[in-house]
Amino acid sequence: MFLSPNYLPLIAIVVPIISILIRPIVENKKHYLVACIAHSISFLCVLGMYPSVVMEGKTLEILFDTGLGPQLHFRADLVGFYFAFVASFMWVLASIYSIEYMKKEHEERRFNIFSSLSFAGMLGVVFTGNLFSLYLFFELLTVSSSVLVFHEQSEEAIRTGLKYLFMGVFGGLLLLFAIIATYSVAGHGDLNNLGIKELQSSPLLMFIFWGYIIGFGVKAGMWGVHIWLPSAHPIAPSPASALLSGVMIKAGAYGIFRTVYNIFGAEFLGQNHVFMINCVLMLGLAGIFYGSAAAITQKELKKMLAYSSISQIGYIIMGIALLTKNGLEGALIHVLNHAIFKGLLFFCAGAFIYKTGKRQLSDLKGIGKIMPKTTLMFTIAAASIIGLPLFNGFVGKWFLAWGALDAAKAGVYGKSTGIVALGVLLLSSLMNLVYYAPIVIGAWFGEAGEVSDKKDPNFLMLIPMYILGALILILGIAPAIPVSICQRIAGGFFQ
Amino acid sequence: MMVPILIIFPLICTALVTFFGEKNKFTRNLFAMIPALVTFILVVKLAPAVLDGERFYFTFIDRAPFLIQFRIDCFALLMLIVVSFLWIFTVSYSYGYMADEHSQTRYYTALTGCLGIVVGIVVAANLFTLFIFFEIFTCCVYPLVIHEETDESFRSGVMYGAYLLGGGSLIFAGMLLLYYYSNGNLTFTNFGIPGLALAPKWALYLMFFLFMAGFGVKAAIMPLHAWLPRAMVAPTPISALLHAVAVVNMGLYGVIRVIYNIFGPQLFSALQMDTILAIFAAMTIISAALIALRQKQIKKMLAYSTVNQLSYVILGVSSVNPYAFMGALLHIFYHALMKITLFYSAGTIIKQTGKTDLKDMSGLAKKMPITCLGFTIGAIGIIGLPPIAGWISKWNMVEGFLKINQPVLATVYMISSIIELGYFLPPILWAYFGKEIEYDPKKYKVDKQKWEAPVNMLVPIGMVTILSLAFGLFGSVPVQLSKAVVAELLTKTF
Repeated sequence: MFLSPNYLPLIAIVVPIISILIRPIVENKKHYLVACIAHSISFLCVLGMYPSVVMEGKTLEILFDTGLGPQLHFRADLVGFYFAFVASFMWVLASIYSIEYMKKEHEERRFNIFSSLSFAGMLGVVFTGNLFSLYLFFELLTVSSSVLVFHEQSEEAIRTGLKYLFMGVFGGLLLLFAIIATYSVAGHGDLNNLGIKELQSSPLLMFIFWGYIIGFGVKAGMWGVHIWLPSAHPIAPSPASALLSGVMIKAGAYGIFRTVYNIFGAEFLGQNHVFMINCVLMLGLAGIFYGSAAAITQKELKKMLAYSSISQIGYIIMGIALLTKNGLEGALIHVLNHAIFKGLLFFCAGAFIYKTGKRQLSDLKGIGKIMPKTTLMFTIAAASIIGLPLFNGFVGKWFLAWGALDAAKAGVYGKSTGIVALGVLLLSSLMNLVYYAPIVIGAWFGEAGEVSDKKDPNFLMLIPMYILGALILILGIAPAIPVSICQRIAGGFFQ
Repeated sequence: MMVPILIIFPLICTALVTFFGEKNKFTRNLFAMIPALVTFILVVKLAPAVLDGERFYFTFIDRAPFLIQFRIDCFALLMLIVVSFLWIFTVSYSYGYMADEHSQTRYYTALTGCLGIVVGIVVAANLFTLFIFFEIFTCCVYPLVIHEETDESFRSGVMYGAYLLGGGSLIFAGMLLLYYYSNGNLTFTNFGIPGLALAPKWALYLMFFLFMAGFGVKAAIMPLHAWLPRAMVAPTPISALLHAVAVVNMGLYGVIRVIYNIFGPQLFSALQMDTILAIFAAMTIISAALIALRQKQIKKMLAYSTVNQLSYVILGVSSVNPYAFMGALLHIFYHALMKITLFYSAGTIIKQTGKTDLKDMSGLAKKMPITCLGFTIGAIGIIGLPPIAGWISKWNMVEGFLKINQPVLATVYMISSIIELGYFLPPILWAYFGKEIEYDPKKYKVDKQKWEAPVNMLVPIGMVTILSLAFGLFGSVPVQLSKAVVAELLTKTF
């Protein structure tokens, strides 16, 4: 019975949790190995879904009735598979990276345990078939990832963590109430159809919609409820920053995607509630602009990267809210691409900190001469985030730009909105250039300061970076597989 | 014969507790535990029959108007299970907590006696019987409230007595009115006492206010709540008893009986009493949460949190909607379980370290991991986040209010949850991630700080913590029981 592929989502979620139970008896250094193995098993489980989910187009699901009201429903469809693939891939790399990186930190065991718990939460969010189960894992993700923010336990870390946790749980509560309202209106919270029909005539529609958007938006770092993000992402240890910025905010983006396309339905929103979805689009655009603008003014590398994440998640929200096929494809492709290049950027930032202890941008002058391999990877990732062709960041932006043009041509918003979206997109790319190019140029051509340890980090940190760097180039030139998956997903919503 | 055994057996054990007293402490303690266990087992054995529709009656005195009669219906069954189940933990935690306290015999005598009286309240078949046991119960708890015998505890004792006996006299007055207008019929009847609707409106409203004020004192509806935070001077197991297991639950029990078995849901909502009650409950929820936010002491904060949570139940009950009513019934149990967890952990912290202030909890989790975990789980449950038990009741109550198109009242739950987040999260986070506070002999009352509690205190804490999780994930028994109660008292179809 357990050999049926239907159990794969559940196994992928449960393995990291079970692996936590053996950690206390494992030697201090070896628990990283346990984490790596557990995360890899989950990754393999996700890969194992490829034949049935992608090739055969099936949905894997199992249902548990606890007798408490809403059911527990595990389910993997194409969207879930895609997000889970991104998450589990990044998690495996981050856990390899952290073997070396965390040597200089305290409380490695706690870090490791909560990293695995967050992983389980993240997989749970994308592998659940109804809103109640989704919420359970969403909360798990919030709470366990907050421990990664608290990690340093300095006064500042605690204050930041408090802000993160408070906003996360606050968003979670909004979400919970929206979910209860959905259940009370519709009697169920299943995600598998195009829009829950009962919601569309409910007097509570506004309340429910904004409950979902803000609830998920907090996690995504959507503009307006983003204030936790710029302080929380930099203060966590670098592997955790890579996951927070690269993957976990996608849980929020996933939620917004489900809200627009599965809970309410794109067609319904586009026809009857243009203003509401337009607001979401504007929030996305505001995020793009604000994130880029704020990143320019930053003096600390990780903080700059965090602001850049706000702008990148803005792209994704914009793509979702454009309500065009190309826009949605762009958003989904950007989910993968952003995870790759933002993960790599944080890995590089971590390597700089690990080897030189330097966090300020001004200290990075001439770092290319000291740590050439890391700086090369940083350069590739920066080129990708700016959106240069032949790097993977370009692909998503290309689709997004087409999506904006489509919206201007025939979308639900009218011409001006599409043009504005396109303009913001191009402006933001320019701003990305303004803040990434000087760093890269300075790193290669600047005068290096005095450092004791003139070396790149060892292979445990370099290999994950190489893998991501290679992927940026490969997916930049030949993005066929992810693009075809995203096109199939988007094709399901737009005929 | 089951019904009298349920009441008499704990009272016999009370006598035995006194008899063995200080001479044989072990046997005394044993006899404090036995009635809780026996009651629980008997009630569980009764459960299938009651759920199948059988009703157990017992008439003790039938000299109307002096009619003392008992009956077990679904609601009584639910309350019996809740009370006797939680009583087991109260007694077992008392063993650890009270080990080196004075006047233990008095303590255990009063505690054991209370169980018999509570069973009497719950199985009462008419208001008169309920009232008699209600008053005895108030008196029985008094020695527990003043256990410390300090000036402060005596002052609190006076306040406790004044509030609760005052409430009792209001119930008495209401009962006289009811007796007059219902032609001497005080028996709890499903869907209301027949003929009561013919009474003049002023009399009905007056009755309603008298009953709500009378039972509301015990259920700590604002502005009648002041005794509850003051009674915090009692030892922690007693705080748990007051706040979670018995006392306040009896208040809620009275409110529900009055609404559903005396007025009946139809009359209750026809006279707009539901609106009045909902307004009071909503105000209590918000203001108690805000007051709790400003508390500096652990126990005070928990006390106001109780005031807040009890009104969740009242609000849910006032809705006259099956979902919200079911949620309210569930919340009686889940809140009790969460609060017990919180009080036991808080009590252990106070007992072991002498720390009473919230900010002193900083860095405590390293030294007392299990206790702090218990506190965390309890707090999450109170906030109402899945998968800790509290979510089920909150979910149902909010769903119920949305179903009857009262989003404002549903929002009350939401606002309250957010405020609760504000007062529970910071101390917990500082406990886990903050720096440890140095020992200050002037400030803390204990000579030497002992850290993690002895086993006999840890076991009850661990048990209730695990139960909180288990009930939130797959314990559907309370849900089924509450459904049966709703089917009996309100409506069969939902």
